[in-house]
Amino acid sequence: MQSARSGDVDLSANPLREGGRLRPLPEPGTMIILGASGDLANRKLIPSLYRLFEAGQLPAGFSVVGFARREWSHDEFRAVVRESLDTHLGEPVSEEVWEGFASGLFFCPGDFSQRLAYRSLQDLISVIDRERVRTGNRVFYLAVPPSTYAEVIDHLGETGLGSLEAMPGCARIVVEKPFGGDRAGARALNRLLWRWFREEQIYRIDHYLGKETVQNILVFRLANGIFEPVWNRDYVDHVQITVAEDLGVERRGRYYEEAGALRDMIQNHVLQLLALVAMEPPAAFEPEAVRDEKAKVLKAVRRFSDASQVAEDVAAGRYESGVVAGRRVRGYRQEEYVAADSVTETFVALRLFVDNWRWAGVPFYLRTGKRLAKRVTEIAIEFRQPPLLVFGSEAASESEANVLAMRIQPDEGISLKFSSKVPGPSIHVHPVHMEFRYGSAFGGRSADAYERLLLDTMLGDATLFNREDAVEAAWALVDEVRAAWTEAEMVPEAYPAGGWGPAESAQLLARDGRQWRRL
Amino acid sequence: MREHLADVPLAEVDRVLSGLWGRATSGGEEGSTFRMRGLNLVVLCFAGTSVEPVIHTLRELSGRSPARMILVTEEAGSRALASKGSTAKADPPESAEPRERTPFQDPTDGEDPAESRDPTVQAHILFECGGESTDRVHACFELVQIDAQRKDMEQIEGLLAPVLIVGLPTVVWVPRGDEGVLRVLKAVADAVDHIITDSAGFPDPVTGVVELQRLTEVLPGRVVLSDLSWTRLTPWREMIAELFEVRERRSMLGRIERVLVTYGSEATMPGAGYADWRPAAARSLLLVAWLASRLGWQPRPEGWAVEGDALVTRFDRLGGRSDGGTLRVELQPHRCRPGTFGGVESVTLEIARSSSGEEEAVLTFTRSPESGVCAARVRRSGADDQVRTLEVPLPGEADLLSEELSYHGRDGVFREALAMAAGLAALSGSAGLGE
Repeated sequence: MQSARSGDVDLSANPLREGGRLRPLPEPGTMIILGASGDLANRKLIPSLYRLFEAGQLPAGFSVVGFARREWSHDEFRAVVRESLDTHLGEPVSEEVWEGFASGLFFCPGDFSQRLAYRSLQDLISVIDRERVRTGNRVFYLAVPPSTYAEVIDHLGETGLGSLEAMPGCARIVVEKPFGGDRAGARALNRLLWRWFREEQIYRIDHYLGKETVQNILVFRLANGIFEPVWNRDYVDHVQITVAEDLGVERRGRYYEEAGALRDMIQNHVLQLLALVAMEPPAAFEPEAVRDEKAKVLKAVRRFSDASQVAEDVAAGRYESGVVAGRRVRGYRQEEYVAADSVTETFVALRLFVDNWRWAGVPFYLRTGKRLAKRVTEIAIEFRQPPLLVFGSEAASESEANVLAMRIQPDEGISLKFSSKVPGPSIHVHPVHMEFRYGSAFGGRSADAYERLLLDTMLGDATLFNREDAVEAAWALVDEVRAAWTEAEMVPEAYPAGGWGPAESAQLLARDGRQWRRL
Repeated sequence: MREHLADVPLAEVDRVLSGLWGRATSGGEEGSTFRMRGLNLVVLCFAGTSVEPVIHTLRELSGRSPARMILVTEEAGSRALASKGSTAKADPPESAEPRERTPFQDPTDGEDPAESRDPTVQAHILFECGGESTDRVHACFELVQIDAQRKDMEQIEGLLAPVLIVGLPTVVWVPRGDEGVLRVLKAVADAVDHIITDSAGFPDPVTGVVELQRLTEVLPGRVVLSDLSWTRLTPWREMIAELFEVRERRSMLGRIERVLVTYGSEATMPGAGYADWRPAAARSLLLVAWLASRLGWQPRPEGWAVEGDALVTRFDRLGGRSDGGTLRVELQPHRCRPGTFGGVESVTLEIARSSSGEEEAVLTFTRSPESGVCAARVRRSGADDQVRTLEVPLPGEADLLSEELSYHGRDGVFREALAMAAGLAALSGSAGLGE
């Protein structure tokens, strides 16, 4: 691009940012949080934006506009934001940083259903852009209930706020999960978005993909020469993915009654983890290349042939009262906003197959649930045993399969289990673990998932966001399960809170001569 | 857990440390858990370097970059470990044989009897796990201190082979240089992967920049060279680069007609609480050199001139979208009061009016020495057009080292800036930079 020797400087890119040492910085822009008075904005978005600002990762002039029904002035909104930071930031707010951050906070009161409100929003964005931002760049973050998506998107479109032609600069829209309630809903939402936005303007967020350890899955696989050659059906016996929560539904009973574990977790987080583990190496770590490969994997997941196949490969459960971390907790049906005769699943386990050359015949066991023994997210690759154990029958019986476990949370890290000789005159084999822990290996605080994803949105990097084909492929699978459950009038098997799910879950693996890892 | 063992034979260091690690692991079974150590970090402390602040920095660093840390101190008399708390003798070796494998007793190394080493050269080991001394519960701090003569330092493989972890990269850090530092670094280059220096810690930092440039010319291509003075510039470079992210503002880069850098004193090891204040001329020079190398400025042959307190030189603006002509660069020392962190204090870029009528502007970047608050301003038509404030905490030595250790590639931008800085320091009149 530029050569200091010749003095031939190309200013189409910023020559002062060359070299890779300086952190990427987005162009100035305005982030509009639709639903700024809600829980997501207060707990996640605002603290993440503040941390980015504090770290100098937001550009000069960067502004935030809160949009909600409340009749707040700009100053009242700033006070609310400050209170939110004091509560949720987890560290003291620096007064000097706050002063700079607060100067970029604005509020626009308005009813999501009223078109006029979006005109006011447009006017405010224009003023802010004229006085502070100057690029016209804007990001609309839908932190509103999914039931209001349609009217919000339509109003943004009709007023030209999302248009690249009607207003200067670039416009992007961030859509939170759940992205639709089924495949048809996802398609309808996509069609609605495409009416007003181009695909490259749409960022379907799944905050799991912003976690450092999730991003490390690809780095681990593709930046090391020794793992990818054994990352296939020739060496891998099976894969286990666990996303366990010790919490119950808390105050989300009303939402959870509609969603259930299948739609709340499997359709997005868990299948995304599967895609990252099973995908082919992309040609480059670029948005479309990565998303192409992820979509291919999800499309290659074997579909269920019929309801009986679902019954065989899927286990559902519902927690009852029990003890979690020494505390007695109530059952799901006793939770707030939950029907006393609810048949919503709070646990689901699946056996899936990825029908491609790399993974043919390798089962992927997935499980997620609430009120389990502990909070843990882990991907475990269990390898095949050696073809011949030459150390005698006793040593052979002591030998265990190699397991590579990637711990997403908590205690993020990677461990490898392998066999070792026990010191002594005879051959005894004992499994040992080699562990890598993020907490030990790297200092400093890792960016929160929302920090990373918000920054990527402003930078225009969609690598860690979902594309419409992957979303629909995931829904297709989930829809089949739900249809089979409806047909069979499935009632989830009860399991005590504080355990690892229903007996049916263990049987899913036991039938194959395997068992879930003890976590 | 905190252990301090004195007088451990070099050949026994690894065995003793393995035992300590085994005790530190939760199961207590040696070999059942491998703790992360990503590199060998060898610290060369020349005579006159205060060792306590260095150990403070290493202890802080261990929570972020787990490493086998080996502190090589020149001559005796600086045994920080031996002077701290109670010490214990290491367990006697299971066999006397390991001692015979020390590099000092290699029979093939006996051509010059004068080079024969003391076969009882020993190390001191400090081992800490958990507690307040580490950032994370699981991070352990292991430090091996060895006293050595200067000539031994130049043979790092022979000196340290028994204590280096095989297969891990070896990084050498020299907290403070002296007139012989480059000789040592050239000598060790073949045995190491990364050399971290600090030109601010050289007797004459500006000369240090020139010497580092000379070092780059003889280093094997695979060896990464870092200068913590450059690392300290990262927030400045980010702040300056940021203003030109906006495309409409980028054309200003071709119209810079004056650069003013003011600087105070800088501490060579501020994070360790170790104050050795020096004028930050070398860092200011590196900052200007970075701008020049990125923007295609060529220094004019007239060299540096003294104007008041400032040293002034001129560059030709060449090529690209610049409109040619020359620009003036001033480096102005600021006599800050003793004890106040100085370093680079402000950078001002004056932008000329373009031939097509784009107005002139003044871009100012400042950092308050007291608060660490940085501010960027764009002044056009007499009014502040844009104001940006950002709190940039003063990085400690461990922060700087951690940043360098996390960047594994060769920093081509640094190399170009260093070459430019060395060229600027070689111009006539540059002697004033070191004053």
